[in-house]
Amino acid sequence: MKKLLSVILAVLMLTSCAAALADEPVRVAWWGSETSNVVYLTFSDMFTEATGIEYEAEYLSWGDYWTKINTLAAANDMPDMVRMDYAYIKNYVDKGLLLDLTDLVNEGKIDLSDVADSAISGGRFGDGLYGINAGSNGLVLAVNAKLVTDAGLEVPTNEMTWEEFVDWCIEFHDKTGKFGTDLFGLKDFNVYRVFARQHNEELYNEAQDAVGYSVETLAAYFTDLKKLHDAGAIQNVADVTVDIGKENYPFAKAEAATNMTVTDSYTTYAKLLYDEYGALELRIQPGSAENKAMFVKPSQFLSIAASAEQVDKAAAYIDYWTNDEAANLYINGTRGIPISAKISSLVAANLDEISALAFDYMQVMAEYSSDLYAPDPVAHTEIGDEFVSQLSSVLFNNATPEEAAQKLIDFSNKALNN
Amino acid sequence: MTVAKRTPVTQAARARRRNNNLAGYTFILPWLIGLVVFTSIPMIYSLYLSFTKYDALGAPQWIGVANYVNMVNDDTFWKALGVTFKYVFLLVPLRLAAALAVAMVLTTNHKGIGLYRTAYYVPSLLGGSVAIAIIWSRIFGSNGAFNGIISAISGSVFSYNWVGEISTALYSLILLGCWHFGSSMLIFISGIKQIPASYYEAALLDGASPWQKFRYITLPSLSPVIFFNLVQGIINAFKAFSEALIITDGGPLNSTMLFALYIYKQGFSYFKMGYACAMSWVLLVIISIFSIFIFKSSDSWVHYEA
Repeated sequence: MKKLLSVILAVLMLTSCAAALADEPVRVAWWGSETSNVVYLTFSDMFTEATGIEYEAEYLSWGDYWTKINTLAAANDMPDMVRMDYAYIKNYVDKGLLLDLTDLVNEGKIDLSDVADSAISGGRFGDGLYGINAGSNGLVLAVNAKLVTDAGLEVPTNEMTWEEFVDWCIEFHDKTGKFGTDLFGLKDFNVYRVFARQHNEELYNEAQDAVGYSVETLAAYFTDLKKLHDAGAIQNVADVTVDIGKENYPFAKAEAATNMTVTDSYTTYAKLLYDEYGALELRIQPGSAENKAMFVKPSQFLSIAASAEQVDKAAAYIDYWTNDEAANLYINGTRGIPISAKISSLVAANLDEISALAFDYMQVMAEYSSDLYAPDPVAHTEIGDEFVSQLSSVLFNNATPEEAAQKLIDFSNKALNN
Repeated sequence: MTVAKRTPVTQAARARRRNNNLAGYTFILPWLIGLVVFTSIPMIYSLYLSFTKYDALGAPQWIGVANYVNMVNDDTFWKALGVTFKYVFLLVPLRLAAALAVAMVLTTNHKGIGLYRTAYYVPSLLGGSVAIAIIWSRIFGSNGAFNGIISAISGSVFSYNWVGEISTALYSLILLGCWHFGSSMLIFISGIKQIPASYYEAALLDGASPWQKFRYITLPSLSPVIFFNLVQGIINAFKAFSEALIITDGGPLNSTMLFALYIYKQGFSYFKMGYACAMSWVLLVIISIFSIFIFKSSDSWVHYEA
């Protein structure tokens, strides 16, 4: 028995030594849909071909990704290069799980010479730089212009107020029987975030121990959505219980004139609708002009784990994403506008019609944008779920907008102090 | 003298027994390791975690019974508990009845009965799979097949989202659960086949009606099988999770927030592992109470053949 054990141990030691000696691949991780997985895998293959560095990919859907990364972090086994989201990165930085990239940048291992400082400020925490933007994105009102003009209405302008938009949706519904906009878009907590910013408020106060908006603002949002719901200008709330996938949203099937979405997701709709309805028109969220309520957000960060074994290779991966011309021509701006000015203008010159619209929109939106909000607190996910719950209770006629608004605020303040 | 004579024999016997035991333990070793590594240690650890605040990233912080106290003021906790009890109490009897009824039909003598048995088991194989959940949400959605049938029969367009409305969402999940009657059905079939034919022959001579045969022969003879299926069914129903996650995600308004789903959300969406562990232990206690109750009551209604 003892002999057997020592043999097993010896074999184990030998294999681990051999593994350490061999050229280990860099472990990279991301979240994504089927389509984006293809993009990342192809990109990673191009990376291996150009640099000779092998990679090992771990990828999952959005929700499962965070479960897995969290678990791996707990086991001190995070992938070398991890994609981080603005909603999560602060928590990982606070826990000391991400590497400060400043030295790698100074040594030129991650070349940021063509990158404006403002483009990477989102990844700065204290004195450290913990993530490089993969690109920038923002919220957008996608408009099926053909549906609108066929109905004899004008396409909304960027200067349209929120109240005008609500009435416009109802008018569109009265004329066509279709939806003015899509509840799948309006129930996004970020759309409410912009609505709050239109009133010079934020989702959370500076200390993040209470909400940053008034009960009146939230009640007004609920009231407007109820008005749209009761008029039939958005789909029945029962129809958004099950997330049926973007391809099946009313907007994707031309049963709704507009939809609030993110510039990354816009291309999904654009491709589905292009043949029959032509290009979509892109507008800022109605009501945002006066107070510059929009914001330009890092679509995701490329970060290196503090526990990473292959730091240099991970840095090379990030550098390749940021600066390589061929790779970025392939990615074609689908992850947001590249942060390098040189790459960005190169990509812009080679875009197809659908992607070019998103690029142009980002320029326009920047004019209507003010400072990005502070990274969300940990309780944000839970509060976001409760937001949808309270919104549903208004639309199901289980609560008045004021009651539901107060409930969400009470819930949030409790969760923020837990 | 006699003592000295007996000693070697006893020693040899003891050694043999020790050898036998060793062999026995060796054979169950793989299972034993699995039990300790994958069940016992995680269970004890989760009991410890239930007294901590733990987000999986940092180290667990001891907070005593705070997690258990917090449940009292957690509206969704009580809602989830209510929803789960409703789910269990409706689903388990319905599924057992369905399984027994189909098993009765499938033990009659017909051509191709094996084919039918396989066919009726298929839904259970597909189980809580993602594909079934998605199909379910399509069938019972606003534009689904179910409304299509109602519209065709009634002649007017009928649009009602069965999985999306508060009043019916849970029932659509219960219906899906009933459809998974296959494994109970298989056990019933084997139970029915073991009832001696002579019982029925005697009943026939006495002029018993089909109902009397069912009530006084089949049911009592099957009571051990019913008992087993009942315990299994209740435990599994309390742990039901994937259907609710995939089809409704607990909505609308938490009306399908099954307890296991709420544990998952607290643990893996909100990363409150300590709270999730505490709730798991509450679920364990609830399931244990029900199991003990059924076991205690079984003396009065389960008949084991002499």
